Amino acid sequence: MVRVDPSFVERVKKLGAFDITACYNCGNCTAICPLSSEGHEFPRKLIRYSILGMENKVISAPELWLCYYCGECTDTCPRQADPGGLMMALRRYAISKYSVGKIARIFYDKVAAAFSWTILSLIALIGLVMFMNPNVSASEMEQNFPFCFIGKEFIHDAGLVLGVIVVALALVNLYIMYRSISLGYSRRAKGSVGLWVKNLVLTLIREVAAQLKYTKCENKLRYIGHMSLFWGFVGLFIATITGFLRDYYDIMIPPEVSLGLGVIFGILLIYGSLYYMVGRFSKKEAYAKYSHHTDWVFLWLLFLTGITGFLITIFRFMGYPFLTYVLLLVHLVVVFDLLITAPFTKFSHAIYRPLAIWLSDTMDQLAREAPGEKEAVAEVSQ
Amino acid sequence: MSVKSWYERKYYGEIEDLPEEEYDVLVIGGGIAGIQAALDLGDMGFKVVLVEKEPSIGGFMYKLSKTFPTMDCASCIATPRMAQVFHHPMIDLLIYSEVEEIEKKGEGDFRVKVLEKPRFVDSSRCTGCGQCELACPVIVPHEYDWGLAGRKAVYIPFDTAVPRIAVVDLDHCIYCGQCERACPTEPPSIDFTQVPKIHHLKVGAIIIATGFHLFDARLKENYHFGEYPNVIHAMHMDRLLAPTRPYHAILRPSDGKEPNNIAYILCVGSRDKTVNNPNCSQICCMYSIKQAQLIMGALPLADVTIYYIDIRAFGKAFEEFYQQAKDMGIMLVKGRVAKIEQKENGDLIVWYEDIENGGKLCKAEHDLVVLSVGLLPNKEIANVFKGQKLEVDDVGWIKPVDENANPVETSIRGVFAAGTALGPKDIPDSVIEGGAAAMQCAAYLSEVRGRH
Ligand SMILES: Cc1cc2nc3c(=O)[nH]c(=O)nc-3n(C[C@H](O)[C@H](O)[C@H](O)COP(=O)(O)OP(=O)(O)OC[C@H]3O[C@@H](n4cnc5c(N)ncnc54)[C@H](O)[C@@H]3O)c2cc1C
Ligand code: SF4
Ligand code: SF4
Ligand code: SF4
Ligand code: SF4
Repeated sequence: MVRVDPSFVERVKKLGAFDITACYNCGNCTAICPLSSEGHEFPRKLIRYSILGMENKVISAPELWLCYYCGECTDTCPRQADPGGLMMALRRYAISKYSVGKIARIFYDKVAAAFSWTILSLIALIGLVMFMNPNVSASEMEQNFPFCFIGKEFIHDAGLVLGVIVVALALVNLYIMYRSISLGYSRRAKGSVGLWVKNLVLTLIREVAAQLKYTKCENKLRYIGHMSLFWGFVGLFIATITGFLRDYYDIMIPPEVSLGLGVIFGILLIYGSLYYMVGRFSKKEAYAKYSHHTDWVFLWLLFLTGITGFLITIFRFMGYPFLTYVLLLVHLVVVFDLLITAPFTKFSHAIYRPLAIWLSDTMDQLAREAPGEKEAVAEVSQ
Repeated sequence: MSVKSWYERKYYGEIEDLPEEEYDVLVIGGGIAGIQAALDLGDMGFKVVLVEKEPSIGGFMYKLSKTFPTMDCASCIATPRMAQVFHHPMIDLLIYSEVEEIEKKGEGDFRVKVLEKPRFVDSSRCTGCGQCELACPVIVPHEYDWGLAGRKAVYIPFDTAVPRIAVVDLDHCIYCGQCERACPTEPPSIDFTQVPKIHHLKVGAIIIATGFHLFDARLKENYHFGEYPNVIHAMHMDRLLAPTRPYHAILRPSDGKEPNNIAYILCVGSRDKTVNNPNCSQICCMYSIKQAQLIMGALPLADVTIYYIDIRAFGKAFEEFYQQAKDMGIMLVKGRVAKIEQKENGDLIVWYEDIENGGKLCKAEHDLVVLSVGLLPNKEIANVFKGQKLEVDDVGWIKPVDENANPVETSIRGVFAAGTALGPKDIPDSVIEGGAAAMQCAAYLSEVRGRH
């Protein structure tokens, strides 16, 4: 039995679905949506779930992550109820739900988020200052530039610890999400390991590396912007790792490789983040009409990561040590903020989306092969 | 065409100014509401002038097939009324004329300027024989049939037009003079020397019954009206079903094939904020169900599917009419069609969510799609009042002073409104309001005149 909970939609409204109660249930949005498909119809169904307060239905819906907010539903909704905005708000809601201990809720509350990010930045700053080495001699500086300033070992170790923590948290969150989504499928059809692995690889190639679903949206510039952001970030991550590999593990990667990767992917990341910032400022497209603070923080952190990293490289080669040091400090603080909170902020869509696609593709496939396995999703039509 | 642009045309040398005439009541708009108001006032002994901007009175009703839910023949009811107005001793008609300006001098005293457009046919001589029509070499789409059939540049508006007098459409005329030579009257009734006339009227009260116009379906881009030939609108279908229909068959435009799988899309241009009309048009559910039933009679083998958001069957016997349609096998699908695609053979694919069957995403093929377009107000009339403001609502319908207690009196005292000028409604309600406005007018006149 479903309990009607009118307070649910009020909570979701606050996350950006301000007009959703104007919906008169016509189905235009589902039929116009380029990503909605037979068996995974949205967004109207999720609107009904939200208005009726069926929270479990909402957070177990992989459809939340099949929506890329291309905005066609919002543009054509006869009630101007902003169904795309609801899908976005539900994703915000889901992120705060899936996280371990519901920590993510902190980052979706403006005041708590501002407080937490300030504390986190201070922790990073203090940590860095503690391991700072201000009395470097000129010759040392030449030799070990710029890592004579902040202990290289410290960054290395801190990075490793940070990485382990973030990955662990992310895995726990993914597990919570997996549990939620499999609720929507009555008996979990097991399927062979081979199928799961095959689909995982397919998902990673199609929907992570190439993000093919995104191409179904009408605006192709946004696809390019998103790919730039994604690959910019991944590329910079790889560039950073090549540096570590060279410095610590004596793997002979020429520094030019790191530099080249850094420049190329830095430009991509800066382009991508600027594209979205301009979009969100001008508010022209449906997705940008309303920006939650979590959207802005995520964008700013990405942008600052890209721009500081880029400038560090430039100043380093032009020989401005002081500027390089200052920027390095900022860069490290920003990267710390971005990564430590990643499992709890908008960043986490990067893991939830692929998981949802992987799970729903595989479970659908199993359901199709063994009919009767998939419970008919309760119909809420009126 | 706006009155202004008639002036701007340089076709005519001058404008003829006529001396002032006096009437008790001016009725603007010769649709069924205006006709009813004029008849009621005339029967009460008031002197009435009825102004109609088209070359014939009648409005929408005489073009319709049948009327819901009684399935009476619309033109059989409308035509005798039109003739009655024409012959009424107390009613004068100003056809093909538009109100230019209204000034209120005091209670019971309105000064009105009406521009009478030249027909280029002498109405005192023309017998309506149609010889000119036969002779004219120019063929253009006929407004009467909503473009489904053609007419000539000189034409009798339609068979039962009132008055049944030819009119020359100067926009398409090539001045060949054939009509003049063919005209059997002596001298020929065709008269290219006619000029616009300005009538100066002094009237005691006014009734606005200017009706509605249809939503321009091209604005719903996803339906590709005007681009896909087999996407038509409801007025086309009403013409195809009418006793006076253009080709005595229901044929689809692209290839003249008889359709056998017809779709109706409801609420096109109504209840839709993307086209700035949040209102329900009130009649489109019912006229669609009416047409669907008529199609079942005309094409017994055809499938008819109505895609709706809600079916609004609120009037007397409407619900039964709706249930009857279901019993006849008309399919009703809850789900707003989001887009239409065209196949190579002209068939159409509609995309919708089948809400009542678990919300399945569906595509369906049809060979003809009818858009049930909504009603929108004719806004021009609000601009003719000098010094006084005729209140209209957000969409542009005339706003009565009191929606509940006084639904036909407007914000200007002495000015009343009736029919679809006040908002979407069906024929019976328009007729009722015509009568109500006539009554209010009479009360107003005796009140202000008693005071003098
Ligand atoms: C497709 C369709 C099917 C329908 N089927 C039915 C049905 O089955 N049953 C039913 O009850 N109703 C039906 N209706 C509704 C019906 O047509 C209207 O209720 C009715 O025609 C309203 O009459 P009216 O006099 O208010 O307006 P109209 O019929 O619009 O008449 C207004 C008149 O005013 C004139 N006019 C406009 N502006 C000016 C101006 N500035 N100066 C002078 N004259 C002006 C117009 O030329 C027109 O002659 C249908 C409507 C449509 C569109
Ligand atoms: S959100 Fe808009 S398009 Fe979707 S069902 Fe509601 S009213 Fe229709
Ligand atoms: S925003 Fe785009 S992808 Fe998301 S539901 Fe709307 S139309 Fe579909
Ligand atoms: S003069 Fe004009 S209206 Fe007359 S026949 Fe020629 S084209 Fe037709
Ligand atoms: S009458 Fe029916 S079709 Fe017309 S706007 Fe209202 S609900 Fe839609």
